[in-house]
Amino acid sequence: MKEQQTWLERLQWIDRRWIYLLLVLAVVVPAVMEAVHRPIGLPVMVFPDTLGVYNAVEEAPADKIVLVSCDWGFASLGENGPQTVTVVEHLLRRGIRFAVWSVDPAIPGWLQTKHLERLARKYGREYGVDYVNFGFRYIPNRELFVQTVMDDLPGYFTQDHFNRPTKDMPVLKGVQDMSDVWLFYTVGADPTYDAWIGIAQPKYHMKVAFGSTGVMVPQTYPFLESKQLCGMLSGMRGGAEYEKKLNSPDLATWGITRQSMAHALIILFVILGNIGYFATRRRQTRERSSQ
Amino acid sequence: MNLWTPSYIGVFLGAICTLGIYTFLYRENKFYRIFEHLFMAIAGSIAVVMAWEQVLRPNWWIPMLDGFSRLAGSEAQAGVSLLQGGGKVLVGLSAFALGTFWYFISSRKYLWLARVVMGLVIGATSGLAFKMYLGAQMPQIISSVKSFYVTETLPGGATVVQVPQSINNFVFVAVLMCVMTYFFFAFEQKSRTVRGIARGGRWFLMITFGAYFGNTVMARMSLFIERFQFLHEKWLAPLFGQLF
Repeated sequence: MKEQQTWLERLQWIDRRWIYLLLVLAVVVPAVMEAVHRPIGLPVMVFPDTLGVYNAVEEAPADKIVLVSCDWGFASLGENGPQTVTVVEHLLRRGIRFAVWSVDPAIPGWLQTKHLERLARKYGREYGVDYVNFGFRYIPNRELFVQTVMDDLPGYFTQDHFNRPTKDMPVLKGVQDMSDVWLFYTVGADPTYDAWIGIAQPKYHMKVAFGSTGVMVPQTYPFLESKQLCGMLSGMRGGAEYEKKLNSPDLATWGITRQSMAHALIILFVILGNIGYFATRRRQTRERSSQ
Repeated sequence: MNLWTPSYIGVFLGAICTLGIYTFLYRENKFYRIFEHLFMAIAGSIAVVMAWEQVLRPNWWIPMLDGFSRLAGSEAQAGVSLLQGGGKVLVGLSAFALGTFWYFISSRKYLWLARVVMGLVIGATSGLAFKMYLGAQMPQIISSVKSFYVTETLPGGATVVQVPQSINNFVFVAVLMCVMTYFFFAFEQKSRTVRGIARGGRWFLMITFGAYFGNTVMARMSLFIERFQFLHEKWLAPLFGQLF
């Protein structure tokens, strides 16, 4: 009965709307602090899983190509967006040839107009020579897609995002199959790496990296452990770490302070909830023993 | 500078829709329901249009029409055109027929037609899925066999024991054994030792699910932070900049 509860026990029954409000404040307060020129700058540590992706791009040889597969949509823009943009920036900065495509119809245009063209201008790279955007690719079955593409890349990607033929593009010169690929980097909210490491990697031994949403991180760690994945960007944290390595702060760095504050608040609420739970249990035990 | 460009009007409408959905956090309300239905309707209609524009039209409709025009037209290499045209028409019509067979799943009399295409799809993908599963999981099993005595040879030739990695490997194998014992249902676990190990496995599983939950919370907060960034930088900042 709630009227007999102590204030400790009532910690379990905090109205969720107060929790939502406090979480919103946890995100808003850093913005206010930045507006008054007192930013809350929490440190960003770079973990080995992020370093694996960074090193794979750093070690990429000039004669091989990198493939970037955007297997995400705007629903996971907060996490997958920075993971895609920051790695693409690294590739453009190093001048490593790469090709990008997406399974979402809106992402290729967004990536091209908002980021690829801007970053290519920044680093003096040219479309068709240093990178190519294959655009939207409808993939009803990932295993069949991998089986088709891995042995004949130019045979599948005959047109780019602008419906231009890719046959004579300098960026794809000498690229025939996955043996010409140094790194396959997939970004998504599903385990989109599974078909590539299960079908293509045993045959061609290219590196595979994954940019994952937070939900996918625990189930992906076994593949990092077995070295099937060379690296992984874990949610917004991974994007922020990569931006720190590149010294190019963007959305992920902006968001990670807010996320850390929200996490701290959630940990506080978990502790309060557990205090309330144990207080309730103690009272119930006392009531049973006194009866 | 004119703020009310078509692009900013789109941003404004997007902000209103975002805030409308977020009203659910206070309580269930009609405002939220309106935006929820709006979202479902737009998502459904975009899916239909995309299915036609991005998939069916370029991969089926246009090649089939090209095939029909080759069959009907008179070109220099008529024989080759007939062959190519006939092939495209045959492929297009077969794809159409097989595609429509899926809809017979709702019919009791013609359900067997749907089973035909289901069998084709399952057969085509099951072999590849088996190959994919083995290719992805076998290295996991092999890498689970870890040494408890990890050494490293230094540049000078001396060998040192990597204690942290050795402990890490021991913990890995211990947790793996505990969890596998928990899932071992072939025989009854009568021994107290085995039951204790299985209970440890259950605790490790709960810790893992806690990590899953924590990462899910992180993912959801990231989605909200991205929305907040949209509301703050793309909607409010230009609006306040215009007003003040």
